[in-house]
Amino acid sequence: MKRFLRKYLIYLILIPLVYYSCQECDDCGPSQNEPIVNLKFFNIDSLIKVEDTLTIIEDSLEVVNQKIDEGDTTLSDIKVNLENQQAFYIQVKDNINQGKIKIDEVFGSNGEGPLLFKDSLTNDSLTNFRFPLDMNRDESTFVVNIQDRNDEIGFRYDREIDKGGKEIIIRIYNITLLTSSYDSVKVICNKEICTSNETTYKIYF
Amino acid sequence: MLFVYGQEEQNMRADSSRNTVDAESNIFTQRTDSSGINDTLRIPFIRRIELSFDYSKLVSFALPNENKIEGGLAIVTKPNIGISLEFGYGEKMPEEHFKNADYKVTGLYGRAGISYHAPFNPGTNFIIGAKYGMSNYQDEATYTIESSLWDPFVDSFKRTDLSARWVEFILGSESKFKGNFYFGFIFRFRALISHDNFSPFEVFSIPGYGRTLDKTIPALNLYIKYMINFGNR
Repeated sequence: MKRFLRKYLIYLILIPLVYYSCQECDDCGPSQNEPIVNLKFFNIDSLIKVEDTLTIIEDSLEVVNQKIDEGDTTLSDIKVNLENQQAFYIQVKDNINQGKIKIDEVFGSNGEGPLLFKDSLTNDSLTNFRFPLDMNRDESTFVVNIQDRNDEIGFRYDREIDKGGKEIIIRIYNITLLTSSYDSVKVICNKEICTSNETTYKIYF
Repeated sequence: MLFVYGQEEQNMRADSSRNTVDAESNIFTQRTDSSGINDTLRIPFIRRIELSFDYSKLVSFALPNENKIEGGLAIVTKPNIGISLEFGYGEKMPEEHFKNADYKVTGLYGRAGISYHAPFNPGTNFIIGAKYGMSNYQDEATYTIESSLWDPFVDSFKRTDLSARWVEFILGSESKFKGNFYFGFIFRFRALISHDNFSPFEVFSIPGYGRTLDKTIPALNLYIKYMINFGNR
């Protein structure tokens, strides 16, 4: 009996080692890997207003500089103030050109949401917004609130179930604009066939 | 010419007073014991029947993600050639296959093979051989993709009546425990011939074979065996 046990001890040790080497999955559960479309917002109305304001400030600065050059010493504080305003509006203009904006709220067309972005949590602005697409339907329409504006934009697309790494995912192809209340929308995709995640819409309002 | 094999051969060699004589029919071996009385040892064509049970698979019942059971029946003939059949059931629910799905593959399998049982010393045999395996299985999954705005996407699939075939080469050893009970192990090297699979959601594993990822795969079975011997005095 002892001889037998000695002979097979290795296998008695081997079995638990083999089975316990199979580790359980720590991050299993429903996937958060949803299909999205990238949106960039450009507030052209604001840009025009900012550019007009900048023009006024620059004109004022030119007059102030001219007076200072002529020997007026009382305008130095006004000059500093105008320069600060100029720097502020240049920054605002750059932000608008980059598409940096703060979205207040986004809802689904049937009242789903609100969708929270990073800017909603940190009160900061973003330049790119990842809008999730409805995986149960071939179209998604969003209601977007920016400042006092309330706009609607919708997309139509084809869906395909696929595997992404260790997850089952939905890929979305052939995305097209379904509806928009914005002034203009421009689509950007550098590939021949783009998935929704690779597609960016530039929205001007 | 000697026609004695295996355990009987060893026993006879140990007893120097015994002689073995081939009978024309190859069924009977004559020998003479120390008292000089002729005795007849019958070595029939079917030397023994072996019933085996893979006890290592019992561990799977203690695990949350799989259940397996396997047993076998073998007939060992006079020249120590064994013809064996093995049957089993496997059920696996791997969490790592799809992170966002409850996946399950189940199925029955069988193996038929031929092997040579080489006696090493009294109570120990070495086994070498080849087997052909078949499995009938099915797999299913229910998966969920959450959305940060919309309703989650929930769907499932089920694929039934799938089959796989493979060959395996075996090498093993068994040792006598008590009475007719033996403990042993079989190392198997499996090569997949064909199997039903799908894209992009491939079958995780084939019951009786293992992961479909590998077209060749090693395996180890630990078993307890009961031998019903024929032809001993």
